[in-house]
Formats: sequence, structure tokens, C-alpha cells
Amino acid sequence: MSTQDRLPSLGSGLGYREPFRTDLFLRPGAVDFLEIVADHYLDASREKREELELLASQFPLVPHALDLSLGSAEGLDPDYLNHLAELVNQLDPPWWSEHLSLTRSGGVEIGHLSPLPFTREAIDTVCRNVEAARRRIRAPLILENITCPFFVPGAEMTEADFLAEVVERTGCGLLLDVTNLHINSVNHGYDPWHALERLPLERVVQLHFVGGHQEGGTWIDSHSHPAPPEIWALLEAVLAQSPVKGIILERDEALPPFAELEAEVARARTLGKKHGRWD
Amino acid sequence: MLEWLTHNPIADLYGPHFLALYAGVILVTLLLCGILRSFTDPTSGVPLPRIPAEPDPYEIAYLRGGTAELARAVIFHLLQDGYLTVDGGEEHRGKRKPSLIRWRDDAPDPSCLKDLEREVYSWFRRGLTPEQLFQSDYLRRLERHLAPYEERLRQEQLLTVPAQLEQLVRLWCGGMLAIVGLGGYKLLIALSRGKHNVGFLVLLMIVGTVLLTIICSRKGRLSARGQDYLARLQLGFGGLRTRARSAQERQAEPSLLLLMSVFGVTALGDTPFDYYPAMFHRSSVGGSGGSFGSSCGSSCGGAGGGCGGGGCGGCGGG
Repeated sequence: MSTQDRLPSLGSGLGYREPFRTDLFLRPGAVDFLEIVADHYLDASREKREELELLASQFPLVPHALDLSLGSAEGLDPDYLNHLAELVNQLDPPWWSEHLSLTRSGGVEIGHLSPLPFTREAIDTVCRNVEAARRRIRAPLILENITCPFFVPGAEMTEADFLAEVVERTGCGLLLDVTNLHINSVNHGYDPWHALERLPLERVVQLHFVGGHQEGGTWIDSHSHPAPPEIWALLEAVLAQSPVKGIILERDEALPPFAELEAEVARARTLGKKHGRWD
Repeated sequence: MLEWLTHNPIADLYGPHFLALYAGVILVTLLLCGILRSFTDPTSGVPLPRIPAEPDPYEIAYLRGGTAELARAVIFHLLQDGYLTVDGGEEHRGKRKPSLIRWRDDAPDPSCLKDLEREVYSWFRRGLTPEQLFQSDYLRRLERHLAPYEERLRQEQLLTVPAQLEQLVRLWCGGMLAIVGLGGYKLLIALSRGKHNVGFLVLLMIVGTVLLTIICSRKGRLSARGQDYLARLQLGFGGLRTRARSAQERQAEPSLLLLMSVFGVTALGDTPFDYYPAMFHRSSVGGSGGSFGSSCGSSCGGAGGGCGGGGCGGCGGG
């Protein structure tokens, strides 16, 4: 039995945002688990610590980090890693996640998730950094694909092949963001279904999905709209082929009434059940 | 033996030196009692209960403020559901401040109500003001309905237990032995030797006794676990405050009852039911404070001790 097989099936849930808090307690059956942004609870105030304690007492939590910068050639920020390790080890989740990206380079804070060059050197860097993180954090790490406003010149492989090789060499699972997959394919003019075929779907642990919006023909990953049919189609295709353990709706902006979010989460849950991912 | 009782290092200690020593003994006694006091509540640090999937507003109101708060919650529910209505009172700065609660002419059939609700509903056949309600024995009639709430809250260790009160009394006695024992002994020695400049000694004894009593008094009906659990409910349901502002008066919005139960009547201040906190505030100002009355007193005391955690008879604030 592989590490991935031993992971529990969590079901369908939401990326936690503070405006959802009361609704989550008024309608506790709406979600099976919550994904928390780890950075919101690092070196946190008393209020945020109490909030985290409250959430952890009522829901399974999966921490999702933003700023570890796994693609940084200079290595991980030790201070950030210390705080992150303290948080994740304290929560003891079934897994935690971070992006395959760069947020820091040459000592400069970039301020957002930047794409990595799809090169073997970048893969070596990611492997070193993942190993450094593993030495401090017990829970399994899964890696997320990001939206790429541009592809770094000098690529030696496609994004899909890059993801496949990183996952193979690190042994990490994949957090497949189907919205990001779709946005990249539309914006860069390739077939998302072809990209999906080249991904190591057997390594997908968790899915992210949400809707974005278009500006001048370019899709923006704004997390601001319900998921469109194309995203649902990709989601279901992955569920049919991958031993997915959890799905998270990542809605951040233009928050609708909670019932609408609950409906999307429920639809994802139903799809997971349909394909035998959970009961 | 008698010689030793009247002539020993303490008895013979020069006055000002003794006062310095005595002040130190009082300080150490108070510190020690303060530390030991924290051990008298065995629920401190016990993991909290989960917020239930279907929280009971009546149970929460009873947890927060006892019988009076429970009565307020039931009355509010009956108002929301159209069994009761409010009348009279005055207009003040464009806001209505009714004073009388009575049966609604077109009220639904009360046989659908729970026993507790039917009991409270029956009080208002001829109409009552909140002052009349709290100055009478109406709240005592709720006692037979309290047992299920009391039992559940005690099972969850959310209320202080008699054993804790006994420990506090023992702690107080121990502290008094040190403070009054030593101070009283020196006072007797001083007086027996014809010294009457004992004012500072007596003052220190009084101050020490008062501070000791404050430290050892029971801080409300909620245990440490109960207080933490209430804080957790308020954290979890804090968003109700925002959505309450958009509620309609005739709309039986269940979240308003939960809001009131978790935070008290003052939480209704920004809602169409803003007259409700005003009505019960007036009952606390105008009333003489009956058995469960408007002031923190007997209603909070129960088995003795200080005021209720969340609200006394009249204030019921959050």
C-alpha cells in the first residue's frame, strides 16, 4: 500500500475565509473539511489562534502554504519554515500543500506566485527544497500547479511533463488545480485534455476548483465566480481516473450567499461519490 | 507556657517592624491564595465541547445568564412567532419604547408550543411589563423546566460545582487564619501592654481581609470550562451580529434568537427589535430587584456567591 493509499478520504470542502465562519457553524454539514491558508496563522494574534483552535475542534483541516517558495535556488527561508513547521506539526493534518512556484528570488520578495522555468535545474532545486521541508514537517506534502501568466523562456519540457517529473522525483502527491490547468491551456493556446493525459493522475491527492473571469480574452484566476462547465468537466474526468482524497472550492472574491457555495461543494461531493472516491 | 505566649519574638517585635512583617505575610497569603484558587476549578484546561450541529438557544441563554436570561429568550421567541406583542410606552428620538407585553389577538394556537414556552406565554394573558415580571415570582415558576438544562450543563462541567465552593471556603479560612490570626494576636498583645496606637495594624487587617475575600469569592455560576465554551460560541456565531441588521420584524428569523441567546439582549440593538433591549434595560433601572430581579443579586447567587456570568436579572448584556 503506497503512502497515498494510506491517506484518508476527506470529501468535499471549502477554502476557509473568515466571512464563512458563522455559516459553517450554522450549517456544519455543508463541508467535510476545510483548507486553511497557513500564512494567516503564522505568528498569529490571540484572536487568530482562538479561531484556529475553534476550526480545528470542529473540522478536519488541511494547511495550504503560500510563501515557502519551493522554486527558490537560494533555499527556503528558515524563519518561515520554522513557523510553518510549528503550525503544521501542531495541527497534524493528513497532508499539507504548497505551490510549485517562486515567491522569493535573490533575496527579493516577489509578492506573488511566479512560475518556474520548466527545466531540470528547476526540478533539482524543488527536490532540494522539498527535502528540507520534509526534514521539519512530518505530514505528507502535496504540490499545486499554479497559473502562469507567462512561461519562462528556455523550457526543456511542457508544464505537464514538469509536474510529472517533480512528483516522481520528490515522491509528493499532486494538488491539481483544474482551474489553473484550464486557464493556462486557454491563455497559452493548448488543449487542456491533452495536458491532462500527460499528468501523473495516479498521484493526485486533492483538487482545487473555482471560476475566474476574462479580461480582453485572457482568463484571470480571480477566484471570483462559480466554476463554469469546462471546469466541472475537467474535475469529473480527474475524479474518474485518480484516487482523489479531497476537493476544495477556492472562492475568495465576490462572495455569494453561503448556500451557493454549499451547492458547489455538494455537487463536487456527489461527483466524488459517483466515482467511488468516498461514501 | 503563658510566659512564652506573651513574650516571644513576635509579641516583643517593635511596632513598625511588626507592621512591615505583617504586610509581607498578608502579601504572601494573598499571592498563595490567588495561585491556589486557580486549582479549585478542575475544569480549567479540559477540552471544550464541540459547538452542536443544532445549538439550543434556550440552553445557551440559560448557560449565559440563568433563569432570567432564559425567560428573556423565550419571551423574544414568542414575540417573533406572533404569540405575543408589545404595546404602550413612549416614542423617544424616533424610536419606539413599548412597555407592555401581552397576548397577540391573532396569535397561533399555543398548544403547539413547548411546555416551557407555554408556561411563559401564560404569564401575559392580561399583559405585563418587564418590571412587573421581574418583581414578581413568575420566574420561579420556570424552575420545574430548568432541570434538563441544568443537568446537561453540569454533565458538560460548564457550571461551577458545590465542591469548588467548599474549596474556596477552605482557602478563605486558611487565609483568614494567617491574616486575622497573626494580626489579632499582635493586637491583643499591644492592648494588654497598654498600647493603643493600633490604627495601622487594624487597617492592614481590614484591607487584607477584604482582598482575601475578593480573591476567594466565586466568580459567577460558570466554571472555567463554561466561560471558555461561551467565548467559543460567541466566536463561532459572531457573524450573526452583522446579518441581524437586515432582519425584518415580522420575520421569524431563527438566527436572531440564537444571536440574543449567545450575546444577550443588547445584541438586538441594531435590529428591528431594538425596543427589546430598551424594555429590559428599563426594568433593571426602575425595578427594586425582586428575587430574580433587575440587579445582580439573588438571581445570580443561587447557591451563594457572586453574580452570574453573562447577565443579571436586568442587564442581560453580552
